[in-house]
Amino acid sequence: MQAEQVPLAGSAPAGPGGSIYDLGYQHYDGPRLGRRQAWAALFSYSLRAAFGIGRGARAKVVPVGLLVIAFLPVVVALGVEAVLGELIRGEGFRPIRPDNYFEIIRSVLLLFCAAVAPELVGRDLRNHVLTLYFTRALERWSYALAKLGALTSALLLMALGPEIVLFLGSSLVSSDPVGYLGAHLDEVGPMLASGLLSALLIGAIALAIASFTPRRAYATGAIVAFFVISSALGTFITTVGDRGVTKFGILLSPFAVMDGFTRWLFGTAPTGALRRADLPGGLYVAVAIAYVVVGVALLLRRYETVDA
Amino acid sequence: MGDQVVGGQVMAGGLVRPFGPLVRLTARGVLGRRRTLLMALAAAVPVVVSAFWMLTGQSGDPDVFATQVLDPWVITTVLPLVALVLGTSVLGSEIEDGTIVFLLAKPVPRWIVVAAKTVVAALASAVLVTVSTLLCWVVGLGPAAASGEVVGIAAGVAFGAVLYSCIAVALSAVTGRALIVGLVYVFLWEGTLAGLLAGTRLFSVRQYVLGIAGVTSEIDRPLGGTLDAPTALLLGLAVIAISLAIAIVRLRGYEVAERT
Amino acid sequence: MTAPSPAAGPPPVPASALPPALEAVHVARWYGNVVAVNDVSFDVGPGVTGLLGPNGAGKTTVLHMLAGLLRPSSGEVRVEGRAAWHNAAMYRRIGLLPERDTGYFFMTGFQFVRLSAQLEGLGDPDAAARRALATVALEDAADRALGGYSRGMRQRARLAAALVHDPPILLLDEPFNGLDPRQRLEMTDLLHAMAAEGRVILFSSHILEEVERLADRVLVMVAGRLAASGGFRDIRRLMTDRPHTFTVRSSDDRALAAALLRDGLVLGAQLDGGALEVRAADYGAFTRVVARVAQATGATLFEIRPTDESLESVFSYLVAQ
Repeated sequence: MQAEQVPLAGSAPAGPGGSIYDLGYQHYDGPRLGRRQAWAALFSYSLRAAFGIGRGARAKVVPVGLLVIAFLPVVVALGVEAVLGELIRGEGFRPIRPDNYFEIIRSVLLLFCAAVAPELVGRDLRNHVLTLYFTRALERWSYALAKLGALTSALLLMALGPEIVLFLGSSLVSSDPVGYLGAHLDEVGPMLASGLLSALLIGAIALAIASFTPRRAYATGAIVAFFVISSALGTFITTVGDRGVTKFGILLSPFAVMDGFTRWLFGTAPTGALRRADLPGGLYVAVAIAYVVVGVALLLRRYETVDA
Repeated sequence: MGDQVVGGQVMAGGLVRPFGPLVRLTARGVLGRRRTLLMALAAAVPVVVSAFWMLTGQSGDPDVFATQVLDPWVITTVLPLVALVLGTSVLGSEIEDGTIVFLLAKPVPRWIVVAAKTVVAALASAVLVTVSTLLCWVVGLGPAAASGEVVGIAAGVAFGAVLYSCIAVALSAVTGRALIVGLVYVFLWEGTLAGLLAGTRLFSVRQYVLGIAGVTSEIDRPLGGTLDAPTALLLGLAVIAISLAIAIVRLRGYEVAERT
Repeated sequence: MTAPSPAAGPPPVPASALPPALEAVHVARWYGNVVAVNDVSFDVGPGVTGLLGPNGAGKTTVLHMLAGLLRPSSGEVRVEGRAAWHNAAMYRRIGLLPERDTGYFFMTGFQFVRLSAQLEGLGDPDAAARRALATVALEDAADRALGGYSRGMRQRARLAAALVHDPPILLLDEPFNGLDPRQRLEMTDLLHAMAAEGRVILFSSHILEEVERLADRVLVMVAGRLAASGGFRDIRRLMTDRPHTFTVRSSDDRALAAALLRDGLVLGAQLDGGALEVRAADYGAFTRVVARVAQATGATLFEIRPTDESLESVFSYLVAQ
């Protein structure tokens, strides 16, 4: 057999001992990009997959539906304010404010995570395609971080998007847009910071939980159960307990921690169980960061040890 | 359905015969698995909370206990979670794994398949949440637990478990994302919307549970219940019938699809 | 036929009046814009019929429609004369072996097959299960969980579950998937034996050797259409626009080749190793005359063998159309 170059499409040279069939395999002689681009590609693919983009309509229903629901309170509030603003607005009457916004859409964020996190990591586990990822220019930990980045970005969109709309919209419906912006400019920083930290907090924990099982339903149930039960438990311990140490029980609840640092960043007073706990605001930030670190560590550890 | 007897085979009497094996199959597939253990654990958490309640000397008033502990922990949290998870697993996991084809390629009427699976899910979740409720009551109230209020509450909770299971089975027959859809229903429809729109109260499992609980206790009004027991029962039975009908019809027309 | 006795029922209906066991009448199935099966008509009777085609040809779709698990978009699929869709009673007459390697992994093989028997409504499910397991030679492993089986064992267990109610019709989707060569031989023998009992067996495959060895009839599907049906040798004979190749061994190949070429009986001849390869345009004419030509040349014929009547050549011809 002589050494053959790749034949042109359509030709099938035949020698005395056999023939080469040209199945259309092509060489690739272009540039090969590195790790960073691989990571970016996985990140953008995962972000699109989170919202069901590139897949059928059924994959979009839940994430896009929840996205719409996340924006709904803001849109309605702005509408009400625009139409009735003169009539109902006392000084500073704003039913939805950036600092209590998370409480309102907490359920929506949780459901979004419970729906999306299993899709992001569970599918690859279920279809045993991790080998394909790990034999490319991706380390195991970059895979995990790309997925985390995608989920956090999606959550950021859900958390910050309506807030930004609310902020800008409020300025537009007020009598003096520029003045409004100037007066409330100090809200922007806390808004972004609390949004980012909240998205990281929920995202890291949810993804860590979801990465442990390929079955979608298991992961969904586990995520919801964890957040709901921990939230109720934390509030309960703090509300009902009367010893000094029980006030730290509130820290068991990621949701309460989220609420805590958001209010601290905005400088508003805590209510309910948070007030009873009476913990320093910076502590919430520290605990939140701790949760994120634990979640990321669990996630990385899972992907270090999972059989591809 | 046209289920006629075709001659030439050794046949046991009756169409209902396969019910037993189907129940055993579903029970083995669902119980004893990690999922059920976790649900049992979840159902135990309110009992721990009740112990905490008792140990910290909280109010011994059954109404207060019911509204402060049973409602947020059992009625709102553990009940829907456990029943939805178990309900979506009996049919949903078979559809996901493809083993449903094994059951459908048999001369067993579809309604028997649906009934067998629903019975297992409903029974398992009802037992879990009812036991949880009763234990909470006894642990949380101590001597005051002798009051008969818990009977209505436990009955309501059991009824709720059956309802959520039926809804979950129907959802599993319709979509591959049954659990998340069910959770969205519980959190958004029953949680948020029910507070805003009065009409939603007619179709809300929580309302039915509260309505029945109101038979022996006074907790339904404070918790937002608006239905009386007979109405709740009737509406609940209607929901059960509709859910099972949906599941049966969907299974009859089940088509093997490409895995999504 | 004997005269009916008073105790017997009505006289048996002559076979030709019975509807075919499996029948497709202008069946099509599409998913949105994608046509998976396109105007397919056939009927299947007793014996082994192979449904052959490349991946994606629509074989599994056709099998699912025959099994009542998929609804035809148009046309009709009938089992023993009645529509296959929404026909739960027909499962007493059909055994289905789907392609997907799935099962109740927590059950033992025996429990799994017995469950099948119970769902089929058999009077003695235990005995039927043991019989079926013996048929597929799985008795030793019958008390181990399915999750611990090898893939071939699971395949056999699922086959036992499909056979447990002694169905006259068997639908098998890629039954040789995941089996090693020895297991394939055993499966082939088993299916041959069952066909000899008068059963109707339809199996799909893309492994040509197995279809060639096992099937009496072949239904070839390509891109959703039925490209050919019948015995593959008969199909080959119908492909008249392709010359037939023969391998001829004789005492004087060279002279024979020259004579054949001169007389215009063959389109081409090639001396290859110890044999003569010829391409004949007309199958019938060549076979009638080759002996006389050999005699005239003085060569003794040792062997004449058609070389492209394999299922493979039939198949590649049809696929290339």
